[in-house]
Amino acid sequence: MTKEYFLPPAFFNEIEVFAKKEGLIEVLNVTNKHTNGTIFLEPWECKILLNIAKFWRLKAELNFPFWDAEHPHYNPEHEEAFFDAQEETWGKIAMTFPETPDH
Amino acid sequence: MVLRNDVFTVVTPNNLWKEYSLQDGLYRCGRPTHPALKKLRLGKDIHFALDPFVNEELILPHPKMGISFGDSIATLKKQPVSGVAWILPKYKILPEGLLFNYRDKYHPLLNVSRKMPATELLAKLNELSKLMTCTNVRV
Repeated sequence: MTKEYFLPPAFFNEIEVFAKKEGLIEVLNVTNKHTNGTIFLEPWECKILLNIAKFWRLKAELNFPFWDAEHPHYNPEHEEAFFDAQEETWGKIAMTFPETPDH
Repeated sequence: MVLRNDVFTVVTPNNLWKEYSLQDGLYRCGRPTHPALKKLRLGKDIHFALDPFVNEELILPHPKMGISFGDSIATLKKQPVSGVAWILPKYKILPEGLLFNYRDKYHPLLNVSRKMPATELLAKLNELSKLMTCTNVRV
């Protein structure tokens, strides 16, 4: 069932730049559906956007592997950079689209 | 007052804890040392305009935008975010000029209730941070 969501257009712009660079046609088909941030999506389309968020999180974990204070090689600079990336790029996407159908 | 406009709902501060009466507070995925309310992400979390008469951004209310919170630690854990859960405990009163709105109740968005300069919003977020406590729960 289609449901209405809102994600600020700035995020859609960033996803589109990434999808074009990587040739992710189905991602572009989803992002092309938004109008000024408002978008109507099926659950499987939400999953595509969540997967972008997860991909960016994984990339940040690879870039800054010592971000976690409990890591034996914890590095405060990695922590700062990891959280900056989360708050700037995937955090909002991750919170906007439901991970589970009961949401 | 709770304004239900189509599918987006604006909750005035007086009604916040009636609207979230079943929760013990509202949660934010923050950093170990603070609830990540120190920076403004203009155009991403916050709606803004450039005021020609003031040499800084003017923050504007927007019923669909806002800084992400969750209605529970479980919600934060379900979503692909990492960090530490901070709580705005139930019955805490929001600083004047702030309110929550939401599309989905599990994802309340912190917003401004009136236009204000960016520096004023930062001061209010700092005030809000002092009302929040770290749960020490990792998400």
